[in-house]
Amino acid sequence: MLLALCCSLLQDEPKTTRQIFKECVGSVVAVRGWAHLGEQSGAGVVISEDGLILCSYTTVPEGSEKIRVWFKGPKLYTAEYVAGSKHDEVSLIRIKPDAPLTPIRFGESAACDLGQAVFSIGNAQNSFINDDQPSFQRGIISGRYVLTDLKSGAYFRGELFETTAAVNEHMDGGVLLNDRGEMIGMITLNYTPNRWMGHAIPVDWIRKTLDRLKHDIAASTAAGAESDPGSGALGFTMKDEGGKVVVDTVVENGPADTAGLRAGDAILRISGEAVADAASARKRLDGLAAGSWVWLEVDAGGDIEKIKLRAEKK
Amino acid sequence: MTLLLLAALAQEDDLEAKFTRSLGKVAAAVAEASAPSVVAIEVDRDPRSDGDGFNPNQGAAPDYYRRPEGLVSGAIVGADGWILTSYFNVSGEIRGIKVRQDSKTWPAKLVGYDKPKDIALLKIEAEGLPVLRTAVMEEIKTGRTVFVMGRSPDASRATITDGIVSAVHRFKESAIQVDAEMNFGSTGGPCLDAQGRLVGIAAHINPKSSWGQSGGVGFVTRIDAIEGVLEKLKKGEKIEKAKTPWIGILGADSEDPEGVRVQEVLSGSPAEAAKLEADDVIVEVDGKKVATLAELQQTVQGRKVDQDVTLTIVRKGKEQKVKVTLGENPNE
Repeated sequence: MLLALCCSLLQDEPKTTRQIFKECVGSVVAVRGWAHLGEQSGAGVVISEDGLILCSYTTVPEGSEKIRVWFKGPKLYTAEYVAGSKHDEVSLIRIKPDAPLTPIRFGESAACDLGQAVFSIGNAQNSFINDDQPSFQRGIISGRYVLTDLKSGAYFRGELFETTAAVNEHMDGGVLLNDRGEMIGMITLNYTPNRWMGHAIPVDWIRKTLDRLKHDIAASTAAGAESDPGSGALGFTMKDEGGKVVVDTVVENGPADTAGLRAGDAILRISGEAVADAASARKRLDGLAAGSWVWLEVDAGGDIEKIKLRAEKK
Repeated sequence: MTLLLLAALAQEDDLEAKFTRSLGKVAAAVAEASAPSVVAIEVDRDPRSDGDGFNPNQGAAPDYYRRPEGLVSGAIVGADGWILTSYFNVSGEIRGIKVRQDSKTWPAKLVGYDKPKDIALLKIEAEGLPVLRTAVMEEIKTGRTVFVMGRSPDASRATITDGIVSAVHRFKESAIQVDAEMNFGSTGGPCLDAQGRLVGIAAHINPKSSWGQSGGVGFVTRIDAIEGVLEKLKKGEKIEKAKTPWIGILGADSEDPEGVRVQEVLSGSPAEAAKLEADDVIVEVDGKKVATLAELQQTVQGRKVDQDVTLTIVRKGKEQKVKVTLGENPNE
């Protein structure tokens, strides 16, 4: 009893903005798919360890093809459409992860107060897909009301959270979090010209929608999904030299060659993380899926440069 | 040293975590306590006559610049039915105004307004309305936390955005600038301090600019500036333009003595009434040195029409004091 009380008190300790980001970012993804309106990009969130992802129907409507999911890393998966509810603006897709995923924790949207602190994580203007940078925003719940008009291609008519946490294009399907890091809403791009603010569909509504879709979800678990986009190659090799990780060979016309990487360049960082030795750098880059973007910080003869590469299918 | 730094950083983290939660708690408390004093306003306007300050090309403009249909906001400032809002909200040919809150609706009358301050005063027939306390304006300085509340798009639901005071001396000292998101819906609503006290009214929305909607540049007409005209507005005064105080001289910078040399005293001006003469050099206003014409103009414009000021002048090498009652500049 005492232990439970202590746990609950600890859970309610205020967290830093950074803690909330670190705890939740692994459960948030970017999503891109092809549908009748062309290619759409948005965000999504992991809701089961075995690969079920909640995203917006605006990004992945029924009939979508070539659905891809990015995790921070970057790590790319292909996904299959599982189920959806257009008027709830909810789609479910499934990937086949190589290790159990960390699902987001659902909070209670009914318990949220006007004014309380919130955070949004998403793929603002494709920050996630293009630069492996999930966008993170802080604000408060600035309103809670019904929107009946549909704008920005939204489908959900009903009560929404309004938030001062910035919401921008390609964030539909992203998460609105409370200050304990629990999901209290799913970002929608609907808005009202009276306010011009960001909005999210309350998670209590999402929960009901998921409950209605549970038979489709169960069927998809049985069927499984093919999720391997194929491993990628960047077209260069590395070696340890004088305490540095140095580019050894560059494949002609490969991604590294095209991006300007040259033999002899020292690799300092991979997607922001310092490089220790050639073996760990190799391990990091060998895990990349085809289509993933990666940033290299290199020392090219004294000039520190940032080079962006896209892994090609091996 | 490193340990000390780490300890300090850990404390910063702790403070940051507490700050985020506290901000949310303060916002929630301000919202709950102040919402009963925030009203929605429904304005029936002849669509052919949209109001002053509005972009005449709005027909072709995107939603962002267009005054949307629907509710705007206001704040109760008198228990017997006095409501402040932005003048912008009631500009144009108005056929009727209603004040709404939850399921209640009152017909409202536009009693007075102050266009330069972008303030309008409405009256509804009601008693015992909850009135917001007034902030101590000396405490409202750059960096202070503020909140802007509204009641749009839903008359039964208040809204709140948070921010800080970005600047204080705006619109000839009558307004402050805040970074709390403001927009068509919340304009006219109250701006509150962290104790839920009324700092002013969200005003001066600018539909022509790219920051007009939730852009982090918002203006709030100060409650002390409103209080200065409130009694006049209650009596039905409609202030179309600002009264600019003046002395009524033509002058130029003077180096010896340092000040402003009077070149001409304008006919019928306060300077003439105070018997100022050409070649007098104004060196001080109320004991404060003025070195240039620009400084003199700035000092005078910070005062009010009908206010007395004491000028220190140098006439024929001798310093003397002259009392001048500021008049209204007829050219502005």
